Amino acid sequence: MGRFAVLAESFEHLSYPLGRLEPSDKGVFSEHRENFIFHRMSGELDAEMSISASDALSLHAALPVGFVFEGDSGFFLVCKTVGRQPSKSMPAAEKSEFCRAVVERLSALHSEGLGCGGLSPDAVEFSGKEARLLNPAKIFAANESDSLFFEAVSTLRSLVSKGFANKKELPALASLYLSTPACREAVFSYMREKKLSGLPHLVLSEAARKYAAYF
Amino acid sequence: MELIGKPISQRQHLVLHGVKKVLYRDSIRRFIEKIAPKVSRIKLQVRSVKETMFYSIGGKKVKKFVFA
Repeated sequence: MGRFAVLAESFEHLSYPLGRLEPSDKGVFSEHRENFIFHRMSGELDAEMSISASDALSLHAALPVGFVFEGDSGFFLVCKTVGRQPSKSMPAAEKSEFCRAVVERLSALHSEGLGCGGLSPDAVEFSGKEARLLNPAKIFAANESDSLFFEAVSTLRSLVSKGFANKKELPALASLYLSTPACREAVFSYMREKKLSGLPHLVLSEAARKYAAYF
Repeated sequence: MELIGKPISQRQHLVLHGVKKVLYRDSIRRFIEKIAPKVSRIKLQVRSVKETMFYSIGGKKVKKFVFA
């Protein structure tokens, strides 16, 4: 099979660039002053699922507007981005805002019973106030076997390891994460399971600091 | 000036010195006329849409473009 593109209503004009661009994972392009990004999908079904759930996930992730199939490369989801990818050269105040936005996004996802495997700075776009996942297909409905605590620890850890936060900021970010009942319950259940005592935000920030020792 | 490729659809991709432009047939003619004195060789790269169809995914209307 050659190449085809499936595009949502009002994004049909993307057939022009998609007819000539060679898609690649995380490849970006612009059209009509709007920015788009490709994400490699394992198959057509995954791409269709992201499009059908776009309304529900548009608050948390870049808007999926279609997908393209290229015979040699496979399926790629096309998402509209509105922010920019964070960089280490951001001013300290902006880095701090970015970290808060990432933690708030994770907290919002967990509050809705959604998981994402943890948020890495590379996997989100930042609009100045809000952070959204670049790839909506990373979001899944969390069940009992998914550890939200692990996702929180992994997110805090990656913010530190990628140079967007320092270790002193971890307790404050952990407190921010714990601002919703679902997130508090995720940490409390981990503490009960491991028979840990102490303040939950300190347990969470300590786990992020000693990431390897915990997992 | 040498023109490579035959316009076969309303939409053509014009490749000029590595810069791709998507133009309609009339625009291509005007574009060629405008740049003709400056270049000697223009390649028309055709990737036209050979088929389109409408359907819905999860209640969302989508349009499928099958490229030639």
